[in-house]
Formats: sequence, structure tokens, C-alpha cells
Amino acid sequence: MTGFDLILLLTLFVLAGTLLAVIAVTVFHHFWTRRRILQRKALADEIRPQLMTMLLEDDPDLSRFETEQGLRSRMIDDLAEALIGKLRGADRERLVLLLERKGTLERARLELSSRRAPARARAAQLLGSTGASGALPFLAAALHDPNRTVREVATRSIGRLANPAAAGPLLSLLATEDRPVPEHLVRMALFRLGRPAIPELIRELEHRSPDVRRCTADVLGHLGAFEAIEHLTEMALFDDHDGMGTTAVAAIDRIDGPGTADALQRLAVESSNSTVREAASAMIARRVDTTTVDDEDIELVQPIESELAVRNG
Amino acid sequence: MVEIVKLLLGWFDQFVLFYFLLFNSIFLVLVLAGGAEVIRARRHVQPISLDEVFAYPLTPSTSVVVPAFNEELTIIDSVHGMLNLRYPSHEVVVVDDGSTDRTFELLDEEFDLEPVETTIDPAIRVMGTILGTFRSRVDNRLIVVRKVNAKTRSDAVNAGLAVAGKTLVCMTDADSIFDPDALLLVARAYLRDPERIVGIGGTIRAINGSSVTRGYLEDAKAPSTWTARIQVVEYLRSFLLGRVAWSRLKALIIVSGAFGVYRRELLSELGGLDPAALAEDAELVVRVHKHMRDSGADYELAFLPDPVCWTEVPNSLTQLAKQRRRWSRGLAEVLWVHRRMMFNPKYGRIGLVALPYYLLFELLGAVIEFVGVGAVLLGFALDLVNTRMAILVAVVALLYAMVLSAVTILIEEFSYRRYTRPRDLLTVALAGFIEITGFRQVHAFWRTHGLISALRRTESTWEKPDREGFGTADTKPRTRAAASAS
Repeated sequence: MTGFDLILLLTLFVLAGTLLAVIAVTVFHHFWTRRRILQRKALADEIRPQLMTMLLEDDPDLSRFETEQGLRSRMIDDLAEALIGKLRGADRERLVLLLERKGTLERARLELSSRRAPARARAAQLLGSTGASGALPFLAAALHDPNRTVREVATRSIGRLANPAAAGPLLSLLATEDRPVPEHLVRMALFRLGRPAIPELIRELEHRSPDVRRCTADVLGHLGAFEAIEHLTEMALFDDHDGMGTTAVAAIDRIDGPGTADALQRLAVESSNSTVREAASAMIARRVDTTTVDDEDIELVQPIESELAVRNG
Repeated sequence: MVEIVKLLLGWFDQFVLFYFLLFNSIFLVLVLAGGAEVIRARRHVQPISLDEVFAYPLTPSTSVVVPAFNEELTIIDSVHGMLNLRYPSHEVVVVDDGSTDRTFELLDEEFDLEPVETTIDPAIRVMGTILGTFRSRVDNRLIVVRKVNAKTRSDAVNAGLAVAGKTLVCMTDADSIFDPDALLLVARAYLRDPERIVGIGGTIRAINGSSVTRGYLEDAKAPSTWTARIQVVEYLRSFLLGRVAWSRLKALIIVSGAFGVYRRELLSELGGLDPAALAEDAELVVRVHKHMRDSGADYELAFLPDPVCWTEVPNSLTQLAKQRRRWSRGLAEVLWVHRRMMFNPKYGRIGLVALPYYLLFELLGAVIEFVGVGAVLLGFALDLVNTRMAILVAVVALLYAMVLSAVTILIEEFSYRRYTRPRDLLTVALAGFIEITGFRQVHAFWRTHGLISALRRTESTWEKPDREGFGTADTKPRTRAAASAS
């Protein structure tokens, strides 16, 4: 037997062994996973009604859940987290209290410093989905995590806290050049904060970063923030940064509330930027339904047309 | 003389052995890298939920373009599936590419079509005359374009692209069905980096044998024929794990025509698909890379393992042979057309890694495999090879390839587990082993044939594979009209 024969034979045994091992692991994993799924399902079927009953009780005893260990404890956490996302008011608060008393939320806060990125992401998600009070500073710190997924999960979680003060830390992500989180994720989180965040967002229209101002104006438009029309009009008139005027005028148009028509009319006449004037005029024209033009519409459009005619010579 | 032949044959056999060890090793690395990525992605928390993508007002609108030539068996189910996709803003553009069967009539019966005027993008070349465009009165998200058949799938897709009016365009086939959240998964990835992402490919899986009801895949099962079962393993290995790894390497050059999503404006800039290309999907991807790199743009063309398009794969060897000859020929044409990108540092990993790999292993691999098997058989016939050694080498090569298939199935088991029945898993595993012993060699012959026809530059036309239709739980009636009649 030559050396080459020996190498081939050895390779053959190694490959055959590997093949058998891979097949064995596949078969084992298939049946083990199947068993685990059934086991988890049975456990969930047992614990879910207990949680629902606890929610129905006037003065429930939470201690029975606090003493659970291992898989049962994790199942309680998972089910409670899933239910929290679907509930509001007292029921939601009771489940958050349960997780607080079990120590789950405290563990999550500590896990945000874990060395494992998936653990940090999971912790950020839990803090966000429970809307845990006091979580904002922890999640705001996680916005600068070295791992991209953790930063993104933290962004989303901050949006779920329903805390208007979260708008600032979120928008600050857009102020840096390296952009640690994609802009769309920041916008999603701001939308999730919703109307309670409008005063905070209006303040951010003064931000030094044009990216922050642009995003804020756009979000205010999508939120239908009629309170912001005056500020957006000022922005359209006086913010000289490239494209800012058209962003503001588009936001005003989207708000479509009391004051929108007046603001557009003012911009169509007063803006020193021809693009803004044209955009505002086009929006006014679109708002006037040509099939049902009445005197009021004509009164609205005529002064603008004559003013524009004068300006355009 | 005999000694010289024996020596040459010996060298060639050693070269073939080395080549296959290298090829399988590269592919094993790709499969392991792809598998690790898939498992990692599955276990990581997702930063955006699909519900949030759905509710987000800035989620990009999408046109799903479905070319259809004589697709009466699947078109209704397929269009229902596309319309029922969970997505906030999408339209379905079906292009009836001069069908001679009842494709258009069935669409009209089911969706009550009315002629409409639409804007046609002049930047996209369409060879077959567009006869008219129609919109459904039942669901105004459905547009049907009727055109004269130009004997290429690309032309039908181009007609759809010319009419499509949304931000993103998803190209697919009329024998395909998406998972309900497939477009949302694509949009989620797009929203994470909309400035850089120009295109996204999704996973293709075989639908043969699975149950489909009104365009919804109810139950994924292993196909009933071995020809289709073998393709399940191939698709897992090459179309899922292989592409995940290439995407991770930022050197993806094939996105399947059955599930490719691109920015609409980019396709318009490029003039749509190349109507002369047989592998129009691969040609488009290479052209996108060329265009973006020539313009110095920072971009990404990604592949996502999660969104799945289920498609009917050939059930017979005859149909499969046609398909594989076409793929091989198409690949040869793409590599020839873009030969200036090959080994060109200007095109980065595409020019230095991906294209050379496809040339040396995907295209020429078939020839080397085919000739290698022939050389061994010749050696046996002339008694020029050491039988014991040859058998040992063959067993090692086969075992290595089997390990590759087994690892592929193991990764599927660890990640997606789309086949939950033990019987299906066993069937797919067996198909993986059958693939190595016999099928692969025949496959090499088909691919070699495809390459030869590319070299001879014989006239090439796209032939639509025979359809058998989806395995529906309630096969009849297929249309609304038929349902009300019954």
C-alpha cells in the first residue's frame, strides 16, 4: 500500500465518519426539536390560562409566578411579553408589574451590558415591549452600542416607550455623520411615539442639524400636527438649507388641517424661494376642485395668481 | 504509446480529483458560511417587526410583474396569491405574452377586466407590440397587459416593467407563489438601507407536491417525483445557502428571475432586461453591478433567505434537461458578454472572485466532470487504470459530495424546518444522495451540451417548460365564474 493509498483510505474514513455524524445530528435534532416544540406548547397551554385568570382577579397573588424556575419561568416571561403588546391600561400594567417583581426587567437592564450582542438586543427588545418606566436612559445608551442590530432594536424599543422625551435621543442619531441607525428606523420610532411627542418635535425644528430638521418636519407632516403649521411655515420661509423649504411645505400640505390653506397661501406669496412658491401654488391648485369651484375658492386663488404674475413679471 | 496514454490519463485523473476536491471544498465553505449566516439571522432579534413595516407610511410601493405565456393551469391561483400578499401598497402586473390557451379569458372571467389607458415607460425596450392594457374591476390593483409574443421571457417582463408604476419592482413567474409576508420581508431589508440597496433576491423553493389553495401554500411537502426531490436539495444548497454566502461576500451575481426585486428607476435607467439573453436574470444582475461600479456608486445587491417564492420545478428529466441546457448556455452568454469585467480589479469582488468562479467551476466544471467520467470509463475499458485506486478515488469524491448534501439538509433542519414530517426529511436526504450517484453526471452532460450550443451560437429561443399546475386541496373549480356555475 502506497502513501497515496493510505491518504485516500484515511480521507475515506474521515468522510464516512463525518457523513454518519451529520446524519445522526440531523435525525437527533429533528426529533429533539419536535419534542421541544410539543413540550413548550403544552407548557404554554398550561400557563396562558393562569395568566389570563390573574388578569381577571381583583387582587391577584403574583408570588405564585415569582417562584417559578427554568423553562417555566422563561415561558411566563415570553407569554407576558407577548400579551403586553396586545393589552392596554390596568391589565398591561399588571403584567409589567409581574415582570418587575420576577426580576425579569432588572435582569434585562443588566443584560444591556452583556458581552453577547444577541443578549443585549433581546434585553433592549424586552424593555421596549414592556414600556418599562425608567428604561429610557438605558435604551438611549444602547443607541450607541457597537453592534448595529442592538442599536436598531434599541431605537425601536425607545419608540415603544410612549415617552415624548424619547424624541430628542432618537433625533440626535441623525445629527451625526456616521448615522449609527438608518433614518427610516428613527422615523418609525418617532411615528410610534405619536402625537404626544409633537411639542418635543416642534422644539427640534430649531435643531442645528439640517437632517434632524428635515426628518422632524416630515414626521410632523405624517402625524398631522396642525399645531406645528406656524413653525413649519417659518421654516419654509426662513430656513435656507437646501431642500428644507420644500420639505416644510410638503409637511404643511400633508397635515391638511385648520390653517393649512392659509399657510400655503402665505408661502405662495411671501417665500423668496421660487421652488417653495411653485410647490405651494401647485398644492393650492390641487386643493381647489375644478368641478365645484365656488366663490370662496376663487377668492383664495385669485390674489395668489395676481401676486405671482407680478413677481414673475 | 500505451505507456504515454496511461501516463496522461493518470495525470488527468489526478487533475480531476484535485479539481473536484477543490470545487467541493469551496462549495462546502460557501454552504457553511451561508448556513452560519442563516442560523445567526434566525436567532437574532429583528429590529423592525413586519407589522411596523406594514403600518409605516414610507414603506416603498411595489409592482409585482408576472409574465404569462400559456399559463392557464396556474395563473388564477398565482394572481390570487400575489394580490393576497400582505403589503400596504402593491399592484400586480400580469403580462399575457400572446398566450394561445385560455390564460387571458380565465383572467377576464375571474377578475372582470376593463381596457384602460396606462403610461408606458419609453426607456424600457419592448419588442412585441403591446395590444392593450386592462384593469380589474374586482380588484383595481391588478393590471393585465396583452402583447405579441416575441419568443423571449425578457420581453414579457419588460412590457410589465414599462407599465409598472411603483417604487420597487418584483419580477416573478406565473407558476410561482410567494409566502404571504415575502414582500414585507423584502421591504424591511430595503428600509434598513434604502440609499444603498438597489436590488434584493429572495429564496426559491420547489412547490411540487405541496398543497395550494387560492394562491396560498397550505402545507409544504416533499415532491412526489425523484427528479423534483433532487432539485429540492439543489435549490437548498445553491439557491439558498450558496447565495447567502455570495451576498455576504458582496459578490452576488445571480438573483433568480422568479424572485428579484429592484428599484424601478434603476431598471428604467438600464432599459430593462436584455431581450437577447437566455439567462436574463443573471445578465441583469451583472449589468447592475457594472452600471453601479462604473458610476462609482456605493451600493448593495442583497440576497435574503427568509422571503420565499415557491415555484414549480420540472418533474420530468426531459424538461429538466431543457432547463439546465438553457441555464448553462445562458451563463456562458452572460460571461461572454461581460468578459471585460472578468479579472478586472475595477469591478472588485465581482470581477476578481465571482465571475472567475462561475467560469471555472459553474461553467467549465460540467465539462471537466463529464470528460473526467469519460476518461475513467475509457481507462477501465483499455485497462489503463488501477481499478482499486480508481474505485477508492471515486468513493472519496462521492462521499465528499454526500457530506456536502448532508450538511445542507442539516442546516435546513437547524434553520427553517420547512419539511416537518420525518418522511419528507428522509425523502429529501435520500434525494441528496441519489443526486451524487448518477444525476450529477447526467446533469454535467446537459450543462456541457448547453455550453457547446453557446459556443456554436445556434439560434436560441426561450421554451416555456410544461406545467402540471399546483397541487391544490380543492383543485376545481379554479375561477370565480366556475365556482358560481358549480
